[in-house]
Amino acid sequence: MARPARDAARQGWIATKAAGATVEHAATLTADRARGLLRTESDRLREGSEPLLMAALRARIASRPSSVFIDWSRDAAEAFGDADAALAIHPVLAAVIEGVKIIDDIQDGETRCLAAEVGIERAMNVALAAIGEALGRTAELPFDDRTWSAVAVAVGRGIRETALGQEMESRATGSHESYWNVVDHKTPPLVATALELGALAAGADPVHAAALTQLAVPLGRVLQIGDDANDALGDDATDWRTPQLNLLMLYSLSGPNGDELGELLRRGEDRESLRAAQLLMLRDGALGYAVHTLTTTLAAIGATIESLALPDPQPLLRLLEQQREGLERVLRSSGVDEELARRVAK
Amino acid sequence: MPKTAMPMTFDEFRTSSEAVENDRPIYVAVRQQRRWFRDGSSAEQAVQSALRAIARWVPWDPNGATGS
Repeated sequence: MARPARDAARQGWIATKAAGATVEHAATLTADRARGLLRTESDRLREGSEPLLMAALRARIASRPSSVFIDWSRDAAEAFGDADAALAIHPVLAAVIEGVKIIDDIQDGETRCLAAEVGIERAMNVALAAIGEALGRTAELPFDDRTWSAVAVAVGRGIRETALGQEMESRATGSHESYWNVVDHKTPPLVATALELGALAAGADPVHAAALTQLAVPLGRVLQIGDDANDALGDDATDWRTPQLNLLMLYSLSGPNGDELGELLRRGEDRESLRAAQLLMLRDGALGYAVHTLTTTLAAIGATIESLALPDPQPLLRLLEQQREGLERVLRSSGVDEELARRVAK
Repeated sequence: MPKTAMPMTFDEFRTSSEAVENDRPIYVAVRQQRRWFRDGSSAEQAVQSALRAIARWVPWDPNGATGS
Protein backbone atom coordinates (compact mmCIF):
# COMPACT_ATOMS: atom_id res chain seq x y z
CA MET A 1 0.00 0.00 0.00
CA ALA A 2 1.32 3.48 -0.93
CA ARG A 3 2.22 5.69 2.01
CA PRO A 4 -0.28 8.53 1.28
CA ALA A 5 -3.12 5.98 1.14
CA ARG A 6 -1.97 4.33 4.37
CA ASP A 7 -1.71 7.68 6.14
CA ALA A 8 -5.09 8.80 4.83
CA ALA A 9 -6.73 5.55 5.98
CA ARG A 10 -5.13 5.91 9.41
CA GLN A 11 -6.49 9.45 9.72
CA GLY A 12 -9.87 8.21 8.53
CA TRP A 13 -10.05 5.52 11.22
CA ILE A 14 -9.02 8.05 13.90
CA ALA A 15 -11.81 10.41 12.84
CA THR A 16 -14.27 7.51 12.66
CA LYS A 17 -13.33 6.29 16.14
CA ALA A 18 -13.85 9.79 17.52
CA ALA A 19 -17.28 10.04 15.88
CA GLY A 20 -18.30 6.68 17.35
CA ALA A 21 -17.11 7.69 20.82
CA THR A 22 -19.09 10.92 20.57
CA VAL A 23 -22.27 8.97 19.85
CA GLU A 24 -21.62 6.61 22.77
CA HIS A 25 -21.09 9.62 25.04
CA ALA A 26 -24.22 11.31 23.71
CA ALA A 27 -26.28 8.23 24.58
CA THR A 28 -25.50 8.82 28.27
CA LEU A 29 -27.29 12.21 28.13
CA THR A 30 -31.03 12.80 28.06
CA ALA A 31 -32.46 11.72 24.70
CA ASP A 32 -33.22 15.33 23.65
CA ARG A 33 -29.69 16.55 24.37
CA ALA A 34 -28.23 13.42 22.78
CA ARG A 35 -30.19 13.93 19.56
CA GLY A 36 -28.98 17.54 19.46
CA LEU A 37 -25.37 16.48 19.90
CA LEU A 38 -25.67 13.91 17.11
CA ARG A 39 -27.12 16.54 14.74
CA THR A 40 -24.20 18.90 15.51
CA GLU A 41 -21.61 16.14 15.03
CA SER A 42 -23.37 15.05 11.84
CA ASP A 43 -23.16 18.58 10.39
CA ARG A 44 -19.47 18.83 11.30
CA LEU A 45 -18.62 15.53 9.59
CA ARG A 46 -20.52 16.51 6.45
CA GLU A 47 -19.10 20.00 6.05
CA GLY A 48 -16.10 18.93 3.92
CA SER A 49 -18.12 17.02 1.35
CA GLU A 50 -18.95 18.34 -2.11
CA PRO A 51 -22.66 18.69 -3.01
CA LEU A 52 -22.50 16.39 -6.03
CA LEU A 53 -20.64 13.62 -4.21
CA MET A 54 -22.97 14.06 -1.25
CA ALA A 55 -25.99 13.69 -3.52
CA ALA A 56 -24.51 10.52 -5.00
CA LEU A 57 -23.89 9.17 -1.49
CA ARG A 58 -27.49 9.87 -0.45
CA ALA A 59 -28.82 8.22 -3.60
CA ARG A 60 -26.76 5.14 -2.85
CA ILE A 61 -27.98 4.97 0.74
CA ALA A 62 -31.59 5.42 -0.44
CA SER A 63 -31.20 2.58 -2.96
CA ARG A 64 -30.62 0.19 -0.03
CA PRO A 65 -27.54 -1.53 -1.44
CA SER A 66 -27.48 -5.28 -1.07
CA SER A 67 -25.53 -6.16 2.02
CA VAL A 68 -25.38 -9.04 4.40
CA PHE A 69 -25.59 -6.58 7.31
CA ILE A 70 -28.92 -5.31 6.00
CA ASP A 71 -30.14 -8.90 5.53
CA TRP A 72 -29.11 -9.90 9.04
CA SER A 73 -30.76 -6.86 10.63
CA ARG A 74 -33.97 -7.93 8.89
CA ASP A 75 -33.55 -11.49 10.22
CA ALA A 76 -33.07 -10.08 13.74
CA ALA A 77 -36.22 -7.96 13.41
CA GLU A 78 -38.14 -10.99 12.15
CA ALA A 79 -36.91 -13.00 15.13
CA PHE A 80 -38.79 -10.45 17.28
CA GLY A 81 -41.91 -10.60 15.16
CA ASP A 82 -41.64 -7.74 12.63
CA ALA A 83 -39.19 -8.09 9.72
CA ASP A 84 -40.33 -4.87 8.04
CA ALA A 85 -39.55 -2.82 11.15
CA ALA A 86 -35.90 -3.10 10.15
CA LEU A 87 -36.59 -0.79 7.21
CA ALA A 88 -36.44 2.15 9.63
CA ILE A 89 -32.81 1.50 10.55
CA HIS A 90 -31.53 0.40 7.13
CA PRO A 91 -30.47 3.92 6.04
CA VAL A 92 -28.36 4.23 9.22
CA LEU A 93 -26.66 0.89 8.55
CA ALA A 94 -26.23 1.64 4.85
CA ALA A 95 -24.54 4.97 5.65
CA VAL A 96 -22.11 3.38 8.12
CA ILE A 97 -21.29 0.60 5.65
CA GLU A 98 -20.60 3.17 2.89
CA GLY A 99 -18.24 5.16 5.10
CA VAL A 100 -16.35 2.11 6.35
CA LYS A 101 -16.03 0.64 2.86
CA ILE A 102 -14.58 3.83 1.37
CA ILE A 103 -11.83 4.01 4.02
CA ASP A 104 -11.20 0.25 3.87
CA ASP A 105 -10.77 0.43 0.08
CA ILE A 106 -8.23 3.24 0.53
CA GLN A 107 -6.38 1.15 3.14
CA ASP A 108 -6.37 -1.90 0.85
CA GLY A 109 -5.23 0.09 -2.20
CA GLU A 110 -8.22 -1.16 -4.23
CA THR A 111 -7.99 -0.21 -7.88
CA ARG A 112 -11.77 -0.08 -8.36
CA CYS A 113 -13.20 2.18 -5.69
CA LEU A 114 -14.35 5.73 -5.02
CA ALA A 115 -10.84 6.93 -4.12
CA ALA A 116 -9.53 5.64 -7.45
CA GLU A 117 -12.23 7.66 -9.23
CA VAL A 118 -12.16 10.98 -7.38
CA GLY A 119 -8.89 10.93 -5.41
CA ILE A 120 -8.11 9.98 -1.83
CA GLU A 121 -8.85 13.31 -0.19
CA ARG A 122 -12.26 13.80 -1.77
CA ALA A 123 -13.18 10.16 -1.13
CA MET A 124 -12.19 10.54 2.52
CA ASN A 125 -14.48 13.56 2.82
CA VAL A 126 -17.32 11.41 1.46
CA ALA A 127 -16.47 8.65 3.94
CA LEU A 128 -16.70 11.04 6.88
CA ALA A 129 -19.87 12.55 5.42
CA ALA A 130 -21.33 9.02 5.28
CA ILE A 131 -20.59 8.54 8.97
CA GLY A 132 -22.12 11.99 9.56
CA GLU A 133 -25.18 10.91 7.57
CA ALA A 134 -25.50 7.84 9.81
CA LEU A 135 -25.41 10.04 12.90
CA GLY A 136 -27.94 12.50 11.48
CA ARG A 137 -30.33 9.70 10.57
CA THR A 138 -29.87 8.08 13.98
CA ALA A 139 -30.90 11.38 15.60
CA GLU A 140 -34.19 11.32 13.66
CA LEU A 141 -35.22 7.72 14.46
CA PRO A 142 -38.74 7.76 15.92
CA PHE A 143 -38.21 5.43 18.87
CA ASP A 144 -39.07 5.94 22.54
CA ASP A 145 -36.22 7.35 24.61
CA ARG A 146 -35.05 4.03 26.08
CA THR A 147 -34.99 2.26 22.73
CA TRP A 148 -33.43 5.27 21.01
CA SER A 149 -30.58 5.43 23.57
CA ALA A 150 -29.89 1.71 23.04
CA VAL A 151 -29.85 2.30 19.26
CA ALA A 152 -27.43 5.21 19.65
CA VAL A 153 -25.06 3.15 21.82
CA ALA A 154 -25.13 0.30 19.28
CA VAL A 155 -24.41 2.68 16.39
CA GLY A 156 -21.60 4.48 18.24
CA ARG A 157 -19.99 1.27 19.44
CA GLY A 158 -20.23 -0.31 16.00
CA ILE A 159 -18.51 2.67 14.37
CA ARG A 160 -15.78 3.00 17.00
CA GLU A 161 -14.96 -0.72 17.32
CA THR A 162 -14.93 -1.23 13.53
CA ALA A 163 -12.32 1.52 13.24
CA LEU A 164 -10.28 -0.13 16.00
CA GLY A 165 -10.47 -3.52 14.23
CA GLN A 166 -9.45 -1.99 10.93
CA GLU A 167 -6.41 -0.38 12.57
CA MET A 168 -5.55 -3.79 14.00
CA GLU A 169 -5.57 -5.27 10.49
CA SER A 170 -2.81 -2.89 9.39
CA ARG A 171 -0.61 -4.39 12.15
CA ALA A 172 -1.35 -8.08 11.36
CA THR A 173 1.74 -10.28 11.74
CA GLY A 174 0.64 -13.35 9.77
CA SER A 175 0.46 -15.71 12.76
CA HIS A 176 -2.57 -17.94 13.46
CA GLU A 177 -3.33 -15.91 16.58
CA SER A 178 -2.98 -12.56 14.83
CA TYR A 179 -5.26 -13.70 11.99
CA TRP A 180 -8.13 -14.66 14.29
CA ASN A 181 -7.60 -11.62 16.47
CA VAL A 182 -8.08 -9.34 13.46
CA VAL A 183 -11.07 -11.34 12.19
CA ASP A 184 -12.76 -11.21 15.60
CA HIS A 185 -12.35 -7.44 15.86
CA LYS A 186 -12.83 -6.16 12.31
CA THR A 187 -16.26 -7.30 11.11
CA PRO A 188 -18.16 -8.41 14.26
CA PRO A 189 -18.78 -4.86 15.59
CA LEU A 190 -20.93 -3.99 12.55
CA VAL A 191 -22.62 -7.41 12.65
CA ALA A 192 -23.48 -6.72 16.29
CA THR A 193 -24.88 -3.29 15.40
CA ALA A 194 -26.97 -4.73 12.56
CA LEU A 195 -28.47 -7.46 14.75
CA GLU A 196 -29.12 -5.16 17.69
CA LEU A 197 -30.68 -2.42 15.57
CA GLY A 198 -32.94 -4.89 13.78
CA ALA A 199 -34.17 -6.32 17.09
CA LEU A 200 -34.68 -2.88 18.67
CA ALA A 201 -36.59 -1.63 15.62
CA ALA A 202 -38.94 -4.61 16.00
CA GLY A 203 -39.65 -3.62 19.60
CA ALA A 204 -37.31 -6.00 21.44
CA ASP A 205 -36.38 -5.04 24.98
CA PRO A 206 -32.84 -3.55 24.87
CA VAL A 207 -31.53 -6.37 27.09
CA HIS A 208 -32.85 -9.04 24.71
CA ALA A 209 -31.61 -7.11 21.68
CA ALA A 210 -28.12 -6.82 23.19
CA ALA A 211 -28.04 -10.61 23.75
CA LEU A 212 -28.10 -11.09 19.96
CA THR A 213 -24.59 -9.64 19.78
CA GLN A 214 -23.35 -13.05 21.01
CA LEU A 215 -23.77 -14.08 17.38
CA ALA A 216 -21.53 -11.30 16.06
CA VAL A 217 -18.12 -12.99 16.38
CA PRO A 218 -19.14 -16.34 14.83
CA LEU A 219 -21.10 -14.61 12.05
CA GLY A 220 -18.11 -12.34 11.41
CA ARG A 221 -15.95 -15.46 11.11
CA VAL A 222 -18.38 -17.02 8.63
CA LEU A 223 -18.14 -13.90 6.47
CA GLN A 224 -14.38 -13.82 6.59
CA ILE A 225 -13.84 -17.53 5.91
CA GLY A 226 -16.06 -17.29 2.80
CA ASP A 227 -14.34 -14.11 1.64
CA ASP A 228 -10.93 -15.71 2.11
CA ALA A 229 -11.88 -18.84 0.15
CA ASN A 230 -12.97 -16.62 -2.73
CA ASP A 231 -9.99 -14.31 -2.49
CA ALA A 232 -7.57 -17.25 -2.46
CA LEU A 233 -9.19 -19.59 -4.97
CA GLY A 234 -11.63 -17.51 -7.02
CA ASP A 235 -11.06 -16.33 -10.56
CA ASP A 236 -10.56 -12.76 -9.35
CA ALA A 237 -8.37 -13.77 -6.42
CA THR A 238 -6.60 -10.73 -5.04
CA ASP A 239 -5.23 -11.74 -1.65
CA TRP A 240 -1.88 -12.91 -3.07
CA ARG A 241 -0.85 -9.29 -2.43
CA THR A 242 -1.60 -9.65 1.31
CA PRO A 243 -1.28 -13.36 2.14
CA GLN A 244 -0.84 -12.57 5.85
CA LEU A 245 -4.56 -11.65 5.89
CA ASN A 246 -5.88 -14.76 4.10
CA LEU A 247 -6.72 -17.93 6.03
CA LEU A 248 -6.07 -20.43 3.22
CA MET A 249 -2.80 -18.81 2.21
CA LEU A 250 -1.61 -18.66 5.80
CA TYR A 251 -2.44 -22.34 6.25
CA SER A 252 -0.38 -23.44 3.27
CA LEU A 253 2.43 -20.96 3.91
CA SER A 254 2.88 -22.54 7.35
CA GLY A 255 3.17 -26.06 5.88
CA PRO A 256 5.80 -28.13 4.08
CA ASN A 257 5.16 -26.38 0.74
CA GLY A 258 5.21 -22.88 2.21
CA ASP A 259 8.36 -21.72 0.40
CA GLU A 260 7.06 -22.83 -2.98
CA LEU A 261 3.70 -21.15 -2.37
CA GLY A 262 5.42 -17.93 -1.19
CA GLU A 263 7.35 -17.82 -4.45
CA LEU A 264 4.22 -18.40 -6.56
CA LEU A 265 2.27 -15.72 -4.66
CA ARG A 266 5.07 -13.20 -5.18
CA ARG A 267 4.44 -13.73 -8.91
CA GLY A 268 0.64 -13.65 -8.38
CA GLU A 269 0.11 -11.06 -11.08
CA ASP A 270 1.05 -13.75 -13.58
CA ARG A 271 -2.09 -15.86 -14.12
CA GLU A 272 -0.22 -19.17 -14.48
CA SER A 273 1.63 -18.65 -11.22
CA LEU A 274 -1.61 -17.79 -9.44
CA ARG A 275 -3.27 -20.92 -10.86
CA ALA A 276 -0.33 -23.04 -9.66
CA ALA A 277 -0.60 -21.41 -6.22
CA GLN A 278 -4.32 -22.22 -6.08
CA LEU A 279 -3.74 -25.86 -7.00
CA LEU A 280 -1.00 -26.11 -4.40
CA MET A 281 -3.32 -24.76 -1.68
CA LEU A 282 -6.09 -27.20 -2.68
CA ARG A 283 -3.69 -30.19 -2.68
CA ASP A 284 -2.26 -29.04 0.62
CA GLY A 285 -5.67 -29.15 2.37
CA ALA A 286 -6.16 -25.39 2.78
CA LEU A 287 -9.78 -25.65 1.67
CA GLY A 288 -10.21 -28.49 4.18
CA TYR A 289 -8.93 -26.25 6.98
CA ALA A 290 -11.38 -23.52 5.92
CA VAL A 291 -14.19 -26.10 5.95
CA HIS A 292 -13.14 -27.23 9.42
CA THR A 293 -13.19 -23.68 10.81
CA LEU A 294 -16.55 -23.06 9.16
CA THR A 295 -18.18 -26.22 10.55
CA THR A 296 -17.04 -25.44 14.10
CA THR A 297 -18.23 -21.85 13.70
CA LEU A 298 -21.64 -22.94 12.39
CA ALA A 299 -21.97 -25.31 15.35
CA ALA A 300 -21.25 -22.37 17.70
CA ILE A 301 -23.90 -20.28 15.92
CA GLY A 302 -26.47 -23.08 16.27
CA ALA A 303 -25.79 -23.46 19.99
CA THR A 304 -25.98 -19.69 20.53
CA ILE A 305 -29.29 -19.33 18.68
CA GLU A 306 -30.72 -22.10 20.87
CA SER A 307 -29.47 -20.44 24.06
CA LEU A 308 -31.05 -17.08 23.17
CA ALA A 309 -34.64 -18.36 23.48
CA LEU A 310 -35.84 -15.94 20.80
CA PRO A 311 -39.57 -15.39 20.19
CA ASP A 312 -39.01 -16.83 16.69
CA PRO A 313 -35.59 -18.38 16.05
CA GLN A 314 -36.58 -19.52 12.51
CA PRO A 315 -35.05 -16.58 10.55
CA LEU A 316 -31.66 -17.15 12.15
CA LEU A 317 -31.92 -20.94 11.84
CA ARG A 318 -32.72 -20.42 8.15
CA LEU A 319 -29.55 -18.38 7.77
CA LEU A 320 -27.61 -21.21 9.41
CA GLU A 321 -29.18 -23.78 7.10
CA GLN A 322 -28.26 -21.74 4.01
CA GLN A 323 -24.65 -21.76 5.14
CA ARG A 324 -24.71 -25.51 5.71
CA GLU A 325 -26.21 -26.16 2.28
CA GLY A 326 -23.52 -23.99 0.65
CA LEU A 327 -20.83 -25.85 2.54
CA GLU A 328 -22.23 -29.23 1.52
CA ARG A 329 -22.19 -28.12 -2.15
CA VAL A 330 -18.53 -27.09 -1.86
CA LEU A 331 -17.62 -30.45 -0.32
CA ARG A 332 -19.50 -32.44 -2.98
CA SER A 333 -17.83 -30.38 -5.70
CA SER A 334 -14.38 -30.99 -4.31
CA GLY A 335 -14.24 -34.77 -4.29
CA VAL A 336 -16.05 -35.60 -1.04
CA ASP A 337 -18.71 -38.29 -1.37
CA GLU A 338 -22.32 -37.24 -0.89
CA GLU A 339 -23.06 -38.96 2.42
CA LEU A 340 -19.83 -37.74 4.01
CA ALA A 341 -20.39 -34.17 2.72
CA ARG A 342 -23.79 -34.18 4.40
CA ARG A 343 -22.38 -35.44 7.70
CA VAL A 344 -19.58 -32.86 7.73
CA ALA A 345 -21.91 -29.96 6.90
CA LYS A 346 -24.55 -30.85 9.53
CA MET B 1 -17.57 -8.83 22.03
CA PRO B 2 -18.28 -12.22 23.70
CA LYS B 3 -15.52 -14.80 23.27
CA THR B 4 -15.84 -17.63 20.76
CA ALA B 5 -13.49 -20.63 21.00
CA MET B 6 -10.29 -20.31 18.95
CA PRO B 7 -10.13 -22.70 15.95
CA MET B 8 -7.53 -25.47 15.86
CA THR B 9 -4.05 -24.30 14.84
CA PHE B 10 -2.74 -25.07 11.36
CA ASP B 11 -0.26 -27.68 12.65
CA GLU B 12 -2.81 -29.40 14.87
CA PHE B 13 -5.21 -29.67 11.94
CA ARG B 14 -2.53 -30.84 9.53
CA THR B 15 -1.38 -33.57 11.92
CA SER B 16 -4.92 -34.71 12.73
CA SER B 17 -6.10 -34.78 9.11
CA GLU B 18 -3.06 -36.72 7.92
CA ALA B 19 -3.45 -39.48 10.52
CA VAL B 20 -5.28 -42.18 8.53
CA GLU B 21 -6.64 -43.80 11.70
CA ASN B 22 -8.46 -40.57 12.56
CA ASP B 23 -11.97 -41.25 11.29
CA ARG B 24 -13.79 -38.06 12.29
CA PRO B 25 -15.84 -37.04 9.22
CA ILE B 26 -13.98 -33.76 8.68
CA TYR B 27 -10.60 -35.52 8.51
CA VAL B 28 -11.86 -38.27 6.20
CA ALA B 29 -13.36 -35.54 3.97
CA VAL B 30 -10.09 -33.60 3.87
CA ARG B 31 -8.18 -36.75 2.86
CA GLN B 32 -10.75 -37.40 0.09
CA GLN B 33 -10.39 -33.78 -1.09
CA ARG B 34 -6.60 -33.87 -1.16
CA ARG B 35 -6.54 -37.17 -3.08
CA TRP B 36 -9.01 -35.75 -5.62
CA PHE B 37 -6.96 -32.60 -6.20
CA ARG B 38 -3.77 -34.65 -6.47
CA ASP B 39 -5.11 -36.90 -9.22
CA GLY B 40 -3.19 -35.49 -12.16
CA SER B 41 -5.68 -36.60 -14.83
CA SER B 42 -8.60 -34.74 -13.30
CA ALA B 43 -6.78 -31.94 -11.50
CA GLU B 44 -7.78 -29.05 -13.75
CA GLN B 45 -11.36 -30.25 -14.03
CA ALA B 46 -11.43 -30.76 -10.26
CA VAL B 47 -10.19 -27.28 -9.59
CA GLN B 48 -12.74 -25.73 -11.96
CA SER B 49 -15.57 -27.63 -10.34
CA ALA B 50 -14.48 -26.65 -6.83
CA LEU B 51 -13.99 -23.02 -7.76
CA ARG B 52 -17.48 -22.76 -9.22
CA ALA B 53 -18.90 -24.20 -6.01
CA ILE B 54 -16.83 -21.85 -3.86
CA ALA B 55 -18.06 -18.85 -5.86
CA ARG B 56 -21.63 -19.91 -5.04
CA TRP B 57 -20.74 -20.72 -1.43
CA VAL B 58 -20.69 -17.12 -0.32
CA PRO B 59 -24.25 -15.84 -0.68
CA TRP B 60 -23.23 -12.20 -0.77
CA ASP B 61 -20.92 -10.00 -2.76
CA PRO B 62 -17.57 -11.34 -1.54
CA ASN B 63 -15.86 -7.98 -1.36
CA GLY B 64 -18.93 -5.85 -0.85
CA ALA B 65 -19.93 -7.23 2.51
CA THR B 66 -16.93 -6.29 4.55
CA GLY B 67 -14.77 -4.65 1.96
CA SER B 68 -12.01 -7.00 3.00
